[in-house]
Amino acid sequence: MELTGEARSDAYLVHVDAERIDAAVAIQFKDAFREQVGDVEGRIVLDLSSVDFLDSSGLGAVVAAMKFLGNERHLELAGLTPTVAKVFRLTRMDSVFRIHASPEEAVSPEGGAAQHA
Amino acid sequence: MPEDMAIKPDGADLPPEGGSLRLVLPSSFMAVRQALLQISARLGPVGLDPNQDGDMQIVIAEALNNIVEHAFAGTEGIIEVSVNASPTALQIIITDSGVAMPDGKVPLGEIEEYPREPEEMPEGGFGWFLIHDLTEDLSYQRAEDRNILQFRLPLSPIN
Repeated sequence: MELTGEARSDAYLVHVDAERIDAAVAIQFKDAFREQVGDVEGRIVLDLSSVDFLDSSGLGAVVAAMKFLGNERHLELAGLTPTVAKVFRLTRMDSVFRIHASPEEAVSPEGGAAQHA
Repeated sequence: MPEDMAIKPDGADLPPEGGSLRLVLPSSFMAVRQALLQISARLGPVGLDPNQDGDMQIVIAEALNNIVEHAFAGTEGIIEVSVNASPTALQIIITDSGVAMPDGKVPLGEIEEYPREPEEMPEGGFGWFLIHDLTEDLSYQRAEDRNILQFRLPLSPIN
């Protein structure tokens, strides 16, 4: 489970370099996320554009990542592919996260912190 | 046995008009992943669209993960998956020799209402909800020391 982090002007982008976040790798994802975001502050955008499939374990791992950040840091999602988006929508977890169409949109002025609720 | 050799299919890909496929896998999350990919590949000629393929992988993943986690609880075991494909539905039967479902029935998988404080967000319990939401005729029986879970995934163009 590889995560690649990149600091942008008003957000830290974490790209998931895996095609599936499922029960087989949920724990590795959580560990890798914690390592990746260490001292990062502010907005963290999880780029899921390479992820084709996410099951309920993967969903739980993303929720755990959000909870790990605590109240001062915000986790947003970007680039949800159709099946992944569907799992978030059916479980209504799409109302819990701010979701961007793409990582570039997330870090653009329109997608940026100025509009964060 | 090596994980990637462990899934035993019973034959070749299905013909376009459908038919049955069956595979046997050991009780591990990685074997579940490989089983999903195998089923998806073998259903290729049946022509599921990406949405249908996604639904199929979600519901089978949730059912199989539940068996790995609860029926076998980390011990070794064997799970059998049968998929009968017709133009209108996938009829899926999953059997295992793990422990019985508590109370002898399938959990309802109800999710409590949101919103809640972030620290209260659940990290689990979504699996049965997804199975109930996407499938029909979900049933569970216990017979001759085996768990038998059945459900149908309709293949409608609207989803």
